[in-house]
Amino acid sequence: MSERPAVLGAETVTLAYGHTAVVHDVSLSVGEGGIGLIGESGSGKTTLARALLGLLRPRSGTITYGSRDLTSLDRKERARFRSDVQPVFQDGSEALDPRMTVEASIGEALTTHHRMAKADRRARVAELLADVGLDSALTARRPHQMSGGQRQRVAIARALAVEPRLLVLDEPTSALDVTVQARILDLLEGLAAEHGLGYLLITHNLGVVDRLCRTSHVLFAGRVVESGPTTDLLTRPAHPYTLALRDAVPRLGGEPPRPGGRTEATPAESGCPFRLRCPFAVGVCGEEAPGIRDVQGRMVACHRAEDVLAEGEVPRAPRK
Amino acid sequence: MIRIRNLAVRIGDRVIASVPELDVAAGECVAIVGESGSGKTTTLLATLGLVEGAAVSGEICVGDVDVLTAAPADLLRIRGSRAALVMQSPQAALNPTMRLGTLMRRALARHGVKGGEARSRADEAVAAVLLDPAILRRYPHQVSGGQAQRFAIALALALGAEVILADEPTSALDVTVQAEVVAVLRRLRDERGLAVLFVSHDLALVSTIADRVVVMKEGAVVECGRADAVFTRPSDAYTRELIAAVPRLPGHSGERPGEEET
Repeated sequence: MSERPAVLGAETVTLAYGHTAVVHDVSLSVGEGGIGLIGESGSGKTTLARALLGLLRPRSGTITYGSRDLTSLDRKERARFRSDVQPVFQDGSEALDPRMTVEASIGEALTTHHRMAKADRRARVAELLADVGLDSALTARRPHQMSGGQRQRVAIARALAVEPRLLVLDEPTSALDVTVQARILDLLEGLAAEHGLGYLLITHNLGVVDRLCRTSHVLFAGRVVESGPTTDLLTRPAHPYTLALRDAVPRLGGEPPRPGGRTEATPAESGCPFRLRCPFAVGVCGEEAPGIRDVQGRMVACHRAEDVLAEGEVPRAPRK
Repeated sequence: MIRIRNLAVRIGDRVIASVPELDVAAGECVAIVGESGSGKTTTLLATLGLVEGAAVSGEICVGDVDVLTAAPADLLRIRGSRAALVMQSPQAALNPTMRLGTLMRRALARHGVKGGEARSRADEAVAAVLLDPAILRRYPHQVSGGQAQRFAIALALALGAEVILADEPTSALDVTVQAEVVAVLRRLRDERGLAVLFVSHDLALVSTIADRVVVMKEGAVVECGRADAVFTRPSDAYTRELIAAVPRLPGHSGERPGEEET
């Protein structure tokens, strides 16, 4: 979808803590616009974000920055990477020094990355705060003097101060009120449209992904189980896990959300990792792990993808 | 089961929550929705007399007990058995050194239920929240967030709760797990006639479980009524704003109730 080469990518990346691999063989790339990474807790999405930010070395595979391997960058290139790719985490207070005022926090980013003169700083800080919908009266506050939503917006303003090409957003709005969330999503949409900002949006909120990301990847137990245009994934899922996620989302005035079926079942060690939770599972699912393949315009790792698509409707998950 | 009239919670001369009228009948789920600072949690806590450092006035009845004038022993009786409070992170409320079964047995023993009667009540309560009885042999850290949340509800049921007060009970959970907890709450309301007072910022979630809705903003009730009416024909501008801000999935609810053309 983007003409320019991707800013950041993962090529068959496997990530491990000690002997435990938590992300298996994942490939994706982020250029302009939004890419969604969808998964529940424990799916490995935050671990993958850490690797993409250069905070965790892959056990195998490569993280690429432009056309380079992230591990091969020299000091100067690394500094460039650090300003090109900015993280925003779930809890904004993690990114802010508790002793620094808002102006000092954002100003530090401006000085470090742009060598901006002090006089220009103040005006730029006010501008950035306005972008995220905060009053410039907040500039003298320290993190503990603000609400969680305000802190998160300051963290986003600080990330944007550097004028990055790409944001890695890990559940950026899940701690925010819906009206504040809506404003942040508008801001990101605007930045992508006007400045070609790219972002990887990591979240469990399908509604947010749908608004911001043309393409999405669904992660289950550290593996990409389905990738493709976000709207296709959500309107006609081809993987039973995508289907379960979608049907569990409460809808305004809609039917009660459907339980995903035995969510406490741990991923299977052999065969398809999702099979113990899967209403579509058959014999072959226990014998052979499904490879990722092209099914009607999206990549999916499921032996029964055609049946999932055809059925359109998921049969209700069996309950004990 | 719950009756609130002219509730006002004040810190100094500032009113942080003011609710003129709120009733929750048996077999009914009422949700209080609003954003941070709206006073929704304060209202919930006030219902059990748990607000500290603030002046509470008005009338709050849980069952036949007037919370604001009740003797401490009566209050304890409500909190311990009649009404159960379910919080966002149940794991924090469960003693990490005890198996869940031990926890449940001790809680029952405090209420004078022992031996075979305690065992059968525990099994029955665990089944009512759709958990495997094997969970009683686990420690809190060995269960998932959703299981812990359902266990917290089971504990309340075993003690004979008739009222469940839940504060964002699913906002720390994955959507698939959230759906399970919501299914359990609906079932308890429908099959056992429990009264549920539910606080949440998630309007979409609320719309799938609540019979009636109270919308709060900055400490005041801006709108209340039947859930379907509030969500399809919101009368207050703030309610409309809240509804419009809910992200939607494609291919569903093309009509956006209450949203104004932009």
